[in-house]
This record gives sequence, C-alpha cells and structure tokens, in this order.
Amino acid sequence: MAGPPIIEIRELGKPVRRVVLHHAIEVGRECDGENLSDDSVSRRHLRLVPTPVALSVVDLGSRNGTQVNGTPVTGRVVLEPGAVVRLGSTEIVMVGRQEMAAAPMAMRTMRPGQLPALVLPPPPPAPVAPPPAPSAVATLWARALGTGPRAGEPLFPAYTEMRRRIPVRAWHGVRIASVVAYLALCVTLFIRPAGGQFWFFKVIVPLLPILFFTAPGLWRNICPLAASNQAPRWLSFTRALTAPDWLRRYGALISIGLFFGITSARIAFFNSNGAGLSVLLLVTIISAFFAGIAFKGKSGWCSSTCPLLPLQRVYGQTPFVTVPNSHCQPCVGCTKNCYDFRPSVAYQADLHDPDPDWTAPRKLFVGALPGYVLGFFLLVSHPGLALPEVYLRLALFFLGSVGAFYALQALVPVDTTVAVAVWASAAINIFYWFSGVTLSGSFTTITGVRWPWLPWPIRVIVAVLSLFWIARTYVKGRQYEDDAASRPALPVIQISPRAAKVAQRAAESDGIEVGFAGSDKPARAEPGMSLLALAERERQPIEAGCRMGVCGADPVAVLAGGDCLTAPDEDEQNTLRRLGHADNTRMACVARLQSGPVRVSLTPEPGRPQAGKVAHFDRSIVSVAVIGNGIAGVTAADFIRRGHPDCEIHVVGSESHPLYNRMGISRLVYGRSAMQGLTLLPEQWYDEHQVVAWLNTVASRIDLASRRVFLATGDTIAYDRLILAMGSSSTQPPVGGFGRPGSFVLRSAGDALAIRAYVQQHGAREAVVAGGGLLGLEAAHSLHELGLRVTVLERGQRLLSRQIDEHCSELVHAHFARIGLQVLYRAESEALTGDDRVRGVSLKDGRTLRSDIFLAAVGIRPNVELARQAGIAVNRGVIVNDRMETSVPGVFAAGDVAEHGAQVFGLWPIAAKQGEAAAVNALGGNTSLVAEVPATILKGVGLDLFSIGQVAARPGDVVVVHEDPDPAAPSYRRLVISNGRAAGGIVLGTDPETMAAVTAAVKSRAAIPPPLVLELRRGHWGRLKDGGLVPALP
Amino acid sequence: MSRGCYVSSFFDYPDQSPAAPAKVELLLGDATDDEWAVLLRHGRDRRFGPGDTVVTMGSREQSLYIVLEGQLEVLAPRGRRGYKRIALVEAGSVIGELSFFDGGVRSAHVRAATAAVLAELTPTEFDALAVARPDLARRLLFDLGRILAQRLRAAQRAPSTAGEN
Repeated sequence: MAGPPIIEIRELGKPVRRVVLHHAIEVGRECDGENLSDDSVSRRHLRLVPTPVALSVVDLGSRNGTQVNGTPVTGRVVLEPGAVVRLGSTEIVMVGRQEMAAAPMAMRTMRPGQLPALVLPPPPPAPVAPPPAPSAVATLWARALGTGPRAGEPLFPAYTEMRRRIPVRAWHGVRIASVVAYLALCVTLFIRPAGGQFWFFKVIVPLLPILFFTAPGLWRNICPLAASNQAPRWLSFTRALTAPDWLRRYGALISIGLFFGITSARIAFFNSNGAGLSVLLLVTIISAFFAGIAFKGKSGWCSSTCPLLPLQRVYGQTPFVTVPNSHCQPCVGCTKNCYDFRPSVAYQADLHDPDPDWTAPRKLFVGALPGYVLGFFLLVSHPGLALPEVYLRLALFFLGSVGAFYALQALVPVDTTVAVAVWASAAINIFYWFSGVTLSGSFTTITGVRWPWLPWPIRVIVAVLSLFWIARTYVKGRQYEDDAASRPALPVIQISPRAAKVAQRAAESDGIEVGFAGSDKPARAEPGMSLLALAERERQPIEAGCRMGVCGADPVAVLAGGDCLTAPDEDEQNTLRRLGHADNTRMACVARLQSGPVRVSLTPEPGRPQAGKVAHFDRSIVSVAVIGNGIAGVTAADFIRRGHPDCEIHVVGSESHPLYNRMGISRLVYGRSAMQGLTLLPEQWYDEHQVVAWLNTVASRIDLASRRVFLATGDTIAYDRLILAMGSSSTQPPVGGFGRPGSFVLRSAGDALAIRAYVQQHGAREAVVAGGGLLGLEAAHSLHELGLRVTVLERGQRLLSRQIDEHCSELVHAHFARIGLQVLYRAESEALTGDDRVRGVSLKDGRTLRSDIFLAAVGIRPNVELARQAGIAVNRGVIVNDRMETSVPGVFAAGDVAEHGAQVFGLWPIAAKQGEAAAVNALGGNTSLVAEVPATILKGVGLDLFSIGQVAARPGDVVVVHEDPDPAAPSYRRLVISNGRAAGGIVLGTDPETMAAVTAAVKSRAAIPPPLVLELRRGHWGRLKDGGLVPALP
Repeated sequence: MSRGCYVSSFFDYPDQSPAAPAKVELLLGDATDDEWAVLLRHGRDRRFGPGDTVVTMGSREQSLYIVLEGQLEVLAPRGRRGYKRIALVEAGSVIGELSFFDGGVRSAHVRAATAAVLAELTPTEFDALAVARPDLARRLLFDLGRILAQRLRAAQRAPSTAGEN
C-alpha cells in the first residue's frame, strides 16, 4: 500500500531534510510551507501536490523557474520516484512513498527496496533520542511489595472502583454498635472511672495506631465519631453546606492542634480524671454530630477537623488492607485530596500539592511525631517535675524532632515521601516500645494470663511491619510521581477543543486556495465547497438567496481559475443570462470548487452593452406596466428593457424598498443590519434602465377596456402590455383576535422590521408560531435567535410533512428541540388572549400558552383581488398558460400571483423564470415554461435541508436511504425511485455535491438501474453525479 | 516537589460538586472558528512520528506550538544521562510559550509520544498575523500574557483551594 510521498530537500550549506507530504505544500523563501534560505528561490516558488497515485509539482510563477530532471516546468509535472526538482541552487528529490502499515514511524522504517536506485545520504540524525521513562524499576518493586495495581483495579483505585466485600448495609449495623459502645464508655467513665480509663487508655488507645497502620479503612467505617458525623446525612437532615474557605484551608492545622492539645492534656488532666475524659468524649461526639448537620459530606469533621485525622492520613497512606469507604453514597466531592475517595494516593497528593500552605502543616505534624511520642512516654509520669516544666520539656522533644526532620532533608537529598515514612515509622515504633508494655499489662488484666515476654513480639512485629511499610510507601511515591507526571499538568496552556477541531480541519484539508478581491489573504476551501459557502465562512459581504443558482442574489466575477469550478447547469446558465453580467460571472451558491487556485470578485463585471443586440422590436408597444416590484416584476421589467430599448416601463410596487432578497428577511428579525444587506438592486438601477419606479404605491384598479392602471395616488398609467406580479400575502389565520398588537405574519421586510421593533418595545420574551412548514420554522428560528422562547404549533403530526418523510421529520424535530425550540403537534390556535395586545394563545384543545408574540405562518395567498375585479380569469391565482398569458390578451402574470399548471409555486426561482418568460412573450416572443418539479431548501436555521420532487413512496417505488446518525450534525439522504427513475430526493446536512446530484437526477428523471441502487445503498452517493447516467458496473 | 508541581486528576470527584471541575483557562477561548482558521493559516503544520524530537532542550528557536493531534512527552534530564517524562501534553495544548516570548533557550525536551501534528507559529509569522489581523494578534498576546500571569501567581502562592474552584 502506498502512503504519502516523501521528498528530500537538499539545500546548499544545510543538512538534508525529508518531509512526508500528507497534503500539498508550497516551497519558497517566504511561503506557507517549506521555507528555503536560497536567494535564487522566489518567495512562493512552487507547489507540491500529492494525490494517492502521483506527486506533481506546479511552478507558481517563480522568477528563476523550476526544472524537473533538467527540463523546465510548464504547468503541472508528475514526479516519478527519483525525480529531481531543481529550484535555484536547491534540489528536491522525490524519494518514494511511505509504507502505510508503518505510517506513523515516518521515514525511519522505510525499507531499502522502496528507495529509488539513487544513492541518498542518510537522513540527519534526530538531535536527541532520550530513553523511555524509567518506570520499569518501580514496576518491579511494586510487584515485589504488593503495591502494584490489583487485578481489575486501577493503580490507585477510588472507593467506587474497589471490590466491596461487606455490603454498605452491614456497616450501618456495625456503626450503631460502635456508637452505643462509645456512649457506654462515657457512662462507665462517670460511674466507674477506673474501669473506663483502663479500657480507654490501656486497650483502645494503644490499639488504634496499629489499626490505622494496617487497615485504616476499617476504622474509617466503624469510627463512632464518623458514625455520629454521618448520621445527619444518612437520615437526610444535614444542611449540607459547602465548607467555608477557612475550614478547608486551616482544617488540617485545627485537627493537628486538637491532636497535640488533647493528647498532651492527658498528662495534666485526663489520665487521672474519668469524668473529665467522659465530658471530653461526649463533647467530641456531639461536635462531630453538629458538624455533620451543618456541612456536606465529611467536610465538617472526618476529613477536616477530627483530631485523629492527621494520624490516620499519615499511617493510612500505604494500607496493607484496603476497605472501601461505606459512608459516602454517593460522593459529593466535599474535600480536597479526599482520603475516603482514593485512600492509597490521598496523602501523596497532599505531600505533592503545589501549595506550600497545604503541605507545610502536614509535614510539620509528621516531623514532630516521633519526638512528641517519645517525650510523652518519658514525661507522662513526670516524677518530681512541676507541670509547666513537663510541658516545656515536651515542647523541646517536639521541636527537636521537627528540627531533625528538616535537617535530614537539608543534608541528605532524600525524597520527602521517604523522610515522612521514616519519621512516621520511628514514631509508631517508639509508641509500641512503650505501649507494648501497656498492652501486655492489659492482656494480663483481662485474661489473667501472665506473659512477661509479650511486649517483645509486639515491638518486633511493629518494627518489621514498618520497614516493609517504608519500602511500600517509597514505591507508592514513585508510582504516584510517574502517574502524576503522565497526566496532563494544569499549567499547560489549552485551546478550546472546538478550536482544535478547526485546527484539525485546517490541517487535514488540502485546501483549495481562493482569493477574494479586496482581501489580502487567500482563503482555503475544501473541495466541493460552493463559492457562496466559502464567502460566508470568510465573512465576505455576499448575499444569499435560493442557493440553487436561480434567484440571482449572489453573482460573482471569477477573475482567475474559472475552470477549477463546476460547470454551470441549465438553471445557472439561465440566471446568468437573465442577469446579463460579463461572461466570467457565476452564481456563487452553485459554483463549487474542484481545484484551485481561484480568484473571485464579489462585484460582477458589467456585461457587454446589449443595445446593439436588439435588432427587431415591436415599435407599436409604447408602454409596459408591471404591477409588483418583487423578483417576478423586476425580472420582467429587466427583460422588457432588454428586448425593447425605448418603450416606457412602469413598475408599481406597494413596498417602499427597491428589489430585495425576500428569502433573507428573517435575518432582519435577529440580525443587526437593516435593509442594506438584503437589497439586490441599487436604487439607480431603475433610472439606468429607464424604468419608472412607483414605489410605496398601490395600484387600485385595472381597466382592461381602456388599458389603464389606476393608482391609489390618483395617477393613471396607460399600457400596451400589462404584467401582473403582485405576489402573495400570508394567509390570515382564522384565529380570534388576530390583528391586535403582537400578532404578525412574516412575509415582507416591513413585517420583519415591525417584529423586531415590537419585541424590543414590549420586552417580548415568549412567542408562538403557528405553522410547522418552511416559513414557520424559519420564522421560529429567527425569533429564537432574537432570544425569545419559541413554541411552534403544528396542525399535523410532524414537521414539513409536504417536503420530507417521517424519519426526516424526526431528525428536523430533534434539531429544533436541541436548539431549544418547542414544537407542539396536533395543535391549532383558537384565539389570542390579552386585551390591549397579545398576552397568550388559547388552543382548540383547551390549552393556553403564554406568549407576547403570535406569528402566523400558515400559508400564502396570491394577491388576486386586482385581477379578479378587472375580470381576468382567477382561480387560486391568476390563471396563466405556459407562455404566462392570462385569459386577457396583452396581460401576463408571473410569480406568486400566477397559477401555472394548477399550481401556485410561491418559490423565488420559479418566479424569476416566469417573469422572464412573461416579458419575452409580452414583447412578441415565444417562450414556454413547463410546470417544474419544485425544490425547497431550508437553510440558515442551523441545519441544511433540501427536498425535491416526490416525497412519499407509492406502491412499487424503490426508496434508498442513507443515514449518518451523528447527533450533533445529522446527515440523511433519501431518494425515491419510481419506475426505475429518480422521482424525489431529500438531503439533510451540508452536502452540496449530493444535493446537486439529486437535483439533476430528479429534474431529468434519470434512470437509476439496480446496480446503481446497490451502490447508493452502500453509501456511494457520488455515483449519482452526472444524473446517474453512468451506473457503476457490478 | 523538585520535579514540578502535579495537579493531578486523582481527585476529580464523580458528581457536579464545586470541587469537581478545575477551571482551565483557555487560550483565545472566545475566538470563532474563522479566527482560528486565520491564525492557523499564518502558521504552518508540522508532522512528527512517535519518538521524533519536537523541541530540543537548550536550543534557541522561538516557535509557539499548538498540538493539533497526538500526544507529546515533556522530558527533563534525570541523573547524569537519563531523562524522565515529566508531563504528557495532549492535543489542544500550547507549548513553547516561554521561548516565544523571551527568546531564551528551551527548558525541556519535547518529543512526540504518538504520531502528532502541530501548528507552529514563529515570531515572524506572528508579525505577519499582527499586520493582517491586529485584533486577533493582540488578543492572542493578551491571552498568553494573562495565562502566564496566572501561572506566575499560582507559582508564587498556589491557593489551597486550587482543586476546589
């Protein structure tokens, strides 16, 4: 398998370097690719373009030229392996191709056989080749000491990841018992102080450290203080406050202070005062309880201020037996570096915390511990010493131990982990040196058996255990460091994943270079992208209309590289002819990039003057009146002028704007720019074409007999030919109260501007849109974009039922649900509530929705009144034949007002075609239109949806569906094949190539033979290109 | 501690508590896709195989790198001849910002742990960006400065609640 080609760049005076060409690069002195310091090389000298089968070189118009194997390059030259490209004094050699299987290893693993028969110097050695991170030793030790990850668990498991042997429920029982025992002890201390003190000081206290040391989790689960602290959570009456900052910050210091304070107070007080001890224990358990009522999780006591916590954390850091936490169901994340959450690593995380305030008290505690323990046992009986002196001496022990701890670290380069482990071990050994005797005595007291040697095995066991523990802790520390180091550290600067995605896209896409006139840096486009999509992405000032190449909203001049674009189809050719710009004009929405570079100007160049073209025209026509200033009317006026250089042309329009892009009006609702972006014709267009524009003027009556149009202003226009292009209005829904302030339709720029003004004026927050068709969804989206909470009422059971199939409706619904639009089905509005203005909408099923705005988008109604009154045959629209003639000779109709083939299309592209035909025929020409297969596009609502032709499958039809169920960007394609021919298609998702192919196939009713159906089913929709006329052979 | 500070993800707690999400400052967090595209066009893509050296410690080049794909290892010398991996840098990270600003030598080795794609922005390319899109370049600098300042603060006195905000 051949991979990307590899080239070798040999530059004078520099080491040879090799580059793997994953995508096209430029080579030059100051270019976007490989930069050379060779002065005889142009700034952008050449471009190397890899494809799966060939590597070619293109000279970019360099000053000194490029040679391949000695032959100057003109145009594109394919490089064979071994070919030498010379530019200036630099050579580039095509070395070969990368082996696909070993792709990531780059050129190092290239087999010699792949190299051309050309002796190549070896690639320069990599400057540094450091050895792999040395975790092998740690791994070995881990295995020996049993600190390695257990089977089925991560290295440092969280309690949720540990195997639980004892069910949580059982622990509750144990805890109740432990609290009872604790309280019993308190009572005993009052009643029989000596007995209570024996049990507490001579049994429980000496046993606790070894418990912390071996199975800390066991104590965490049975501790009566923890039980009391967690009871409010268990019984759901905790207030669960987040611990305040000071508690989180100084909790450790408080608990350390309490530990030293309480234990040292034994000497003066508690050892001899049973009642006092009892009070202390009661105060402690009550404190724990109230901390549990106040603070969430264990943040009030167990993991912050508990006096035993410092000991548990130090000695529990490398437990021999792990017992998963049974309190926290679930974890509420209350504590930093929580011991109960991830016991085996919590203390390491504390020690390695970047905050010295966090680590210092913990180190101080462990540093003081051995000295303190030693001092305690030596001074506890304090024969002949005054109490202050006892405490002074204890303080000296304390400080000496701390001093030695820090001195050791200053003098010997010992790891903090090790120093801590050694000090902790020293402390526990000292403790059991003395407590071994205590325990032995207690053993005798309880059992009556006298074993004077008993302290020794205790001391030895603790010593051996602690040596083992130090080794385990050391390994654990190394494991922690390795693991922490392999995790991304926070301080690395991050870019957002979205940006990384853009970057990836930019990096991956080969990129076709497209320059826009007036912008300094060329844009890069993916193949297949339309110029419009690119211009929109690049924020170029371009207008979008039908996006099918028909409306004429986005003509651009292609200054260079016109043959890199897809060829114009028939629709586009018609549009271009209609617009009459220079020959290099293309419609940006349908001109798609195949290769590059391409240079484009967004201002089309003027076409050749056409006056000379019109040799014959009907001089008997003196005046043509066009009623309507929409696309049909203006197109008609334009073609009248093209076909007749000197007749009068009157265009009467009720709106006050020159021709604008009606398909873009929803942007007026939410966009910041007003009309200027939408205007398609400059005001002077009318003057330049000697068209009398009657804007903001209403035609009130047509008199067919006298051939006059009466205007509401009192003026009269006499005509020889009349073209009706009054368009259509939104249907007024039969909803009670429709018309009061806050109820709208969205049909004209004026409607859009009014909606925006109303929303601002009344602070509207909620809107109801009646109608789940194209218009309704577009309107709903625009209100949503404006920041309103929008509910769409759909009468039927699904969205866009006339344009798409059921499944696609679901996808569209999911999209709108995701962006936050609500759609109610089988919902019809009955009346608007609110007296002065819309306050809500009541539905026929009785529901009422709060709403500040009611927008009706339930359909369009051709504006036929004028024609009907004049006596022109009218059905739903003004009836026309294929030549756009109405029932009255000399009167034509076009656009939304016309009913052609029993259809009122209401589509901009069709209106433009009809306007042209009406004009041509009005001047005596003969242009016939066939009623078209309607195509619809929903765009600008966050998803691209295209539908053409037949939607529902009839019996015997074949349906091919291909879906990519990516929830973020759903893609869905569907083709209906009727009698072996393409009859209808749906494309959801941005896929202009498939859209174009489906359009072509459906419009030409292309044959889709079974092998092609198979290909489509496999997802190869590229085969549809050329209208499916080239079926793939099986 | 001597090997840098570890802000591990060991204590990313499972629920949505205030302690769980560590706030990560993003570079140009508010830039649009288009702006990113512009920025990246001013730089160039560099591809590395696993084990390839990206940055050599002690070298004097000044590029800023954005890791687009793959993982990089940051290596610090350990012992006399060895190296120790001190960090793993994931896609979406920026490296090389110190030398990019001060022109000083590189402070660590960086090599590709997997096949990696990086966007490289040299100071010269940055200058070109500053001419073409001064607003974007200014924001890039300010953001880098802001993040470096935060890092400096953190180094001076890391708040003990670092994992809790």
